[in-house]
Amino acid sequence: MEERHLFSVSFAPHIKTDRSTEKIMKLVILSLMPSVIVSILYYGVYSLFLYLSCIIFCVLFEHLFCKIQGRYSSIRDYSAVLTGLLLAMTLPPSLPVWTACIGSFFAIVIGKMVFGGIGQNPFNPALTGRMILLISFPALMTSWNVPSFLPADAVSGATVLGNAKTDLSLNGVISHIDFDFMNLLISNGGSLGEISPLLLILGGLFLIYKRVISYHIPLAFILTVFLLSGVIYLFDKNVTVSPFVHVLSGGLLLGAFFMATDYSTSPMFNMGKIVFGIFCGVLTVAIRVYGGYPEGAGFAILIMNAFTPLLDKFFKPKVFGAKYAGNS
Amino acid sequence: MFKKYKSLRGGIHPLDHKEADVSIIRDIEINKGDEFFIPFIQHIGSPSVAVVRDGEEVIKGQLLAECGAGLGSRIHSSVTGIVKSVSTVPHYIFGNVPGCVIEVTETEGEFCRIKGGATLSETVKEAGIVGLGGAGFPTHIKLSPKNHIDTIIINGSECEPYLMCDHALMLNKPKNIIQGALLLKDFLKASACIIAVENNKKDCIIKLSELSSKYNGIDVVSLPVKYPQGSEKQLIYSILSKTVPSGSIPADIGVVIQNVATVNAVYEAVNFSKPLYERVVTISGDTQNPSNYKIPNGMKVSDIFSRTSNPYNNGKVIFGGPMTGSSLSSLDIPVIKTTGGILQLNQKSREQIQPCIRCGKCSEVCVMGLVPRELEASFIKNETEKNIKNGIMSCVECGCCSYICPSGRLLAETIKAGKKYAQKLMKEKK
Repeated sequence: MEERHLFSVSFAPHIKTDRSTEKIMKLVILSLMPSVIVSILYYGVYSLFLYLSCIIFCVLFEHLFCKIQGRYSSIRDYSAVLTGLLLAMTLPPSLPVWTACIGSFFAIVIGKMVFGGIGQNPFNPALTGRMILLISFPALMTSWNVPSFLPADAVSGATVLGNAKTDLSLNGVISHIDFDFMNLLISNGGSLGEISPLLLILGGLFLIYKRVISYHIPLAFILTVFLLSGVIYLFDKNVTVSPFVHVLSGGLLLGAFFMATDYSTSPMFNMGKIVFGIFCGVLTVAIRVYGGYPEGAGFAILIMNAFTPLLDKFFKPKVFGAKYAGNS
Repeated sequence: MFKKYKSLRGGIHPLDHKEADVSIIRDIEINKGDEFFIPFIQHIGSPSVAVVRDGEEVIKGQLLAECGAGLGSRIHSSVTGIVKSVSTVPHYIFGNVPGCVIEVTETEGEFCRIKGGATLSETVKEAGIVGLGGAGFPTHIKLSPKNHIDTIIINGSECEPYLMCDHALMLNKPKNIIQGALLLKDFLKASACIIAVENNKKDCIIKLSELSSKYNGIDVVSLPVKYPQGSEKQLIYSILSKTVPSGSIPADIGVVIQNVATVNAVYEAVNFSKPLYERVVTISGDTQNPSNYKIPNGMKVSDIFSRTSNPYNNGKVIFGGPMTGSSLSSLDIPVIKTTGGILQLNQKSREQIQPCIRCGKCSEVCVMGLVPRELEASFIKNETEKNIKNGIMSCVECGCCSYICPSGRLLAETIKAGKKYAQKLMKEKK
């Protein structure tokens, strides 16, 4: 029988970018690596164990969920790995593994998979996981352990923002703020991922350079926090810490570069991104200064996530040549 | 020396693969006994009506088919030979269409000249000239606009990867293009004529601007390199800062756009009385000898591959560029007037289509400001009215959204299908 050749036929376009979902996720993971490595060096082997358990639990839960639902396992797109990594970065270095397991469950299953998996979730999965842990186990989630490689005087029991909050509630004024610009490189205390503001900024700039994320959200977010906290600080130094401390400590940089820019849960259009960033900033400062928690970036992002569909609808681009937006 | 022009909204920068040799336009070898398939649809509009019968001898350039009813164009023979049958022949998009098969009996000799009409538009119609950029819109219709035309844009941007046929033409026949442009400008009484070339063809820009400097009202502009820079509405926006309203054509705002190859055909029709039966085609892709050939219409792809030392490598064969071209299902399909390139691509397609991750890249690259992911979602949910409201009919089918999608979703493909549904619905409503 004559052998028949089958032609490959498809619609145009016939070429595609080599940047797949998997590649984007890997780029984000790569950009986080410097911070992760420094935090492991600083906090010791247990933190590595915590990172790995978060990642493994996240991937496992996603795989199991897909299998139970009887659909194709989506773990190969690396998004579960990224969620696990980001979740671990928001946890205190000494958190027990069972807590990390619960966090991973809420991040992946409740935060993402019940909505239909990647791209469908309204709230950032890693932050969902963290916030559920924070509310359920407040003591565990705010006990910052002492670094294992002790540079003797760098011992810190709490974060800068936490100290300020405690001072304020006990004495009514903020007394000691031990923050200098050396903390830009290695800040003392805080969650695993908050260890080095400088490396987070570099990682974020790398993502912007690689066009994985756009600059709109981080810029609007950080600038708003800086300006707003600066204004409050100028009016009354006893209410809050300096704007530099606001920007460089806490989860702001991690949140602004890596969580507020999450594709699924942030607006798609540039104007929407700017508004999203501004409101994230306003809410962060409001929670930090007037709220009960010392840290507000995570809550701010989650609250603004809920407004994403609205912002997308409102700031839809104008069709080229159309008289007004959204109509041809 | 050259003014910088603003870039279009969105767009992409694919690897351009402009590797074909542009220094010469090669002639292709035609042998006695070759079979040529000449479809009577090589343009937008109704099929042309045959004026030859089975067994009739035709010479190169002789009229084979007259304009059909309504929008149409003439078809001329590209070879000297015997008409073996007037029935159906393969077409790269429509499957089998009316056409004729010609067996070559003589490879030498002059072409049959056209008589030439009283006006340029009539001559163009007689020569069977259609838009050679890829769409194949009959040029004589474009030359009879309802409004006054102030500006003619000669489109030499050639923004698709791989394709270099316009580049080769501008480099080898710059005089034809300048003269042809002047013919069009005088005929339409336009005040300005602009030849638009993308920045990556500096040699063409220099050559054309040297020649054009002798004439008034004809300019060469260098445009930033971006796909789809050559798309009509985007080109007008880049050069003239004018926006063509949705649902309108460029002529409505006093602009006519012609491809450089079309302008060359107009020049040849007027000065040499030559009908349009051959064109420059880029043979490129994942092949050893990417180059530009002058190929007569109706030549089969299998013959072209064997005569240009670009053997078929079992990959995908594409007519046109990789962004908008059509893939072939057989090597018996003939080249027609609108075929600017024949590419062989071996790139493997994505194994799996993944869910949308809402990255927004599709909307970021969309030159028309649409949101492809929403149009796709609405199409899947069969919400045609919503799609119409969201401007699906504005889509220029450039393919940027599908190119950029990290999840490998078939956005442009789906929107193309959605446009058909939208058209149908709008017709029913009227």
